[in-house]
Amino acid sequence: MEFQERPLEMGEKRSAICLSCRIRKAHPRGLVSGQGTRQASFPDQKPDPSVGLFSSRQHMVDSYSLTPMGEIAKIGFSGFSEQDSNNLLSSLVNGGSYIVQDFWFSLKVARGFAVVICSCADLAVHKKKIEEVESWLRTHLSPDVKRPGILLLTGPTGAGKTATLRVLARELKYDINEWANPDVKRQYNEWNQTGGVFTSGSEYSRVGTVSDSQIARFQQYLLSAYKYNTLSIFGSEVEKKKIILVEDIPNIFGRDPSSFHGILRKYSQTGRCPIVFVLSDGATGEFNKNVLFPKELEHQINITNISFNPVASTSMNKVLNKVVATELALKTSNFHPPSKSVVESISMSSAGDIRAAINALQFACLKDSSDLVIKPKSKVKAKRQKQDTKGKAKPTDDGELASIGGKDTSLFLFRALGKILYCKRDDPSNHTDLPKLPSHLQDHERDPLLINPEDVIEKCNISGEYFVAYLHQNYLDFYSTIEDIVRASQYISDSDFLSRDWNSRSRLQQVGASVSTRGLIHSNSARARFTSSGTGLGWKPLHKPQWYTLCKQRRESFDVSRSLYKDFTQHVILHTEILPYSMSLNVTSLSLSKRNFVRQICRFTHTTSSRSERLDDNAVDEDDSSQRLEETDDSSNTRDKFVLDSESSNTGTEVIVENDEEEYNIEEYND
Amino acid sequence: MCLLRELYGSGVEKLRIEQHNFTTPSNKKLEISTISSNYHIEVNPSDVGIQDRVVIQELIKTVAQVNQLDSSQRDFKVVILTEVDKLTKDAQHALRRTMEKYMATCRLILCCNSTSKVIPAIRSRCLGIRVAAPTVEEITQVLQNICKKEGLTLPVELARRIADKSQRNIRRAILMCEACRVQQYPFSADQEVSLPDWELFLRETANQIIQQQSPRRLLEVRGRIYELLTHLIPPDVIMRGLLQELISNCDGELKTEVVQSAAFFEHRLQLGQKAIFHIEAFIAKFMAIYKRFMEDNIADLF
Repeated sequence: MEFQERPLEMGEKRSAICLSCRIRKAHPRGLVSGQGTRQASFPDQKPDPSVGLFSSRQHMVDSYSLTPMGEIAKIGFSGFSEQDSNNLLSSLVNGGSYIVQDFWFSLKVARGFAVVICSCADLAVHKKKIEEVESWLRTHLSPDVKRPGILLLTGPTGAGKTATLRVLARELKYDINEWANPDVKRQYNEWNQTGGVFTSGSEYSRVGTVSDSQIARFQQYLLSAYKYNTLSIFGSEVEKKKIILVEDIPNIFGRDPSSFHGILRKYSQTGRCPIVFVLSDGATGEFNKNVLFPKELEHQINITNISFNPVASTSMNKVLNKVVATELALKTSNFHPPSKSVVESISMSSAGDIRAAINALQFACLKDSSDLVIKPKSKVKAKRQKQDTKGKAKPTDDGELASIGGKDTSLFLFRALGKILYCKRDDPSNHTDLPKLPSHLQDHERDPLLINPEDVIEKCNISGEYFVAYLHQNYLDFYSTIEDIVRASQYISDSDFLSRDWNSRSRLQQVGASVSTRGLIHSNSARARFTSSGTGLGWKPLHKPQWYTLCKQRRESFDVSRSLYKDFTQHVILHTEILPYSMSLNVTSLSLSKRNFVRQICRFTHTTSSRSERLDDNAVDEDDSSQRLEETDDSSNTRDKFVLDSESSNTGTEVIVENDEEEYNIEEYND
Repeated sequence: MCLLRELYGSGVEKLRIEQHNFTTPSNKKLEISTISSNYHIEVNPSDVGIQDRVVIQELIKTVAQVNQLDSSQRDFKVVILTEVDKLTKDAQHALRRTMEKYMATCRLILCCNSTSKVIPAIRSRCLGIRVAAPTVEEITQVLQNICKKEGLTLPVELARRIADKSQRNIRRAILMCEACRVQQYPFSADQEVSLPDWELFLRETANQIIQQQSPRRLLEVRGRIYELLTHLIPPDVIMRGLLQELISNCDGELKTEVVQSAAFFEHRLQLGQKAIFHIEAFIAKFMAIYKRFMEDNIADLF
């Protein structure tokens, strides 16, 4: 599928290598949490029982898929027999599952979607999204479009971005030409094996030599890919249209995005066929997207961005059931149809990642027959809070499953903050063995929490300190009495106090975060009961902590003042006494150099005051709940607000500043 | 400065500002500016934060290693260190050793606001001279002297009022006087003496706290504190100013409790990193105390 361009008639060794690449390609991005280890442990050094187990079926699929996988697979495993022998023994189970994964995933694409399901109606992706992609493709594939379109598909892993594209490719009858990252290590090995001599006419002459930079190769690929059609060995029917698909953007561009933009611009001028980028937004994905495809570039060369949502659980169920049904129809010997509840729990635990779900499903079907006894290694953690909060009582069996196939879902910061601040509580009647507090501590009694604060912090991927800063920025909205705030703010102060020593900060940071989150939850007495959690409050906007921008501003202006007033060594005096007065003093009596100084100081004080206006604004903004966590500030409406605000706050001082500013303007003309 | 002139004559007034570069053991580059003449050097080592130990050692070493060439003068140089109380403990210990080692070629003048933060080892090696803040009368006198030399007439009442408002800080008094001159000349006795903007701002903030005690108000106050911080007002100064304003506005019974909590959070503020947490905790605490007091009072009334 992906490798139409690769010559299949090469020597055995070459094709083995080629194939290893192919198998890797089949899952270019993360399927499950063990993303990093997967590639390393993939090549198996032993003929794994599960490989044998599936080899027969692989041949069955071969008739459907485009490349002879079975043969290739065999060569592949023998070819890699010597490598990576150290880390595979540890996880025979894992190794098995990886291979199986690969196989079934391709089954999903080749048969599940294309053969059995046949049409995009059965994709787990939402219909609107498919239509969107389809219409884009139709417009940009039509022959009268001059400039090439650039499409960017984003979304979480396993949302079906690539699958949509492939299915549509089948329906709209176009070819996909995919960029494959050249594997430097592989080439190096090859180079060694051939005794340091490159065989002429091999693919390397096409891809380039080892010393070629990734950037150059990528550029060459993009600019030449549309020129040549695939060689039609079997006598081509109709010349197909082509799109270029880039899934693995060379990671050098993460560091050097400008050259990437350059290549894209060049392509948009000269290129002829549409190009599709697929980016999954993981923890760093958003960063990548902003860096690689900034907004101005999107406008400039007309990039369309379609973002996919996680697969909804209903459509996920549908697909999974379909896969099960298909498997049943094939009646293979070692297939054990999973129960309905199992399928449901899989679809739930995968958190919208259909690829992970199918892998998990496959594992679940294996379970009964093989001797792989799956024991949950640790007890089922609160990781899958998503399920827990939905309040479905699950049999233990599902818990096990989730521990295999479940995705290590990370919480969005927004939700994590919400969890702490809204602090939902459980009905105490569900818990019979709760200890009672003595009567004098009665007002500290709280219903049991639904969440575990430490887990929430752990899951939202930021440091404890930063999390506390976020909490601090937002907690005031959620409290109704000042007495509660006293306690809450003291807890926050405690947490800062805990992390004061840099020596132990890294460890105590977590403790501090825990102290402050639990403190915040506990001290909110209005939400002490589970009954109160459902009602009240409503949606409140959350904000970014101002503290860090403030520190930055402070540092900047401090540096400015330091460079200006080199002869002052006592900064406190300078900032609290001399500068405020020098603002209102006459500057004409000073020497020229001094005057320049003071002028700059005027500017300096002016800029800081304008900064503080903006800050003031933010304070107003918060009240008006216009600045949300995701939003950047909107300068236009803040202007208006400031007019209102300045009247209330410090009109007097502002006037002085302005007078001074005028004064100094006049002087400038005099010079 | 006058002392130095006594020692060395007028040559000490040829000042120059120098940038000194130091490299820490961890290869971090530091830069610090000093004011120096041929005879002395003035530096504020606490500028460089926690790396001040290196600065002190290197600086004194370089100064002290060069003997005074001109034999007609005194055979030592003078190093003036300001804000010694802001030095880290580490640097103070380093200073202790260095100052003994180079006693032959250099003398140190250490300036600080309070000796309580200077380690005893240094205190015992120094001759402590307490420079008291000038009295109101003295400030009035100084102001009038200055005005006379500038050829201005300063009414006594105004001078006194400036001196009162300056909190016995002569620098402030002179600056205030200058500001008054810009504002209005000839002076009138009842003319307004302007305070620094940030102090007015802080006062308003304190009034806001007094007016209303609610989470929403606390949020507004936080915005104002942030603004002060961006104006490079140090957090401990904010804390002190707030306390002063709040104390003057509240009843006598509350004062002990308020001051106690202020001391508690001020201590935290010195130790911790995020000043706003502690300031806010203090404000919340004050709000609670004040609110409770008011409610009790109202209950008593009826």
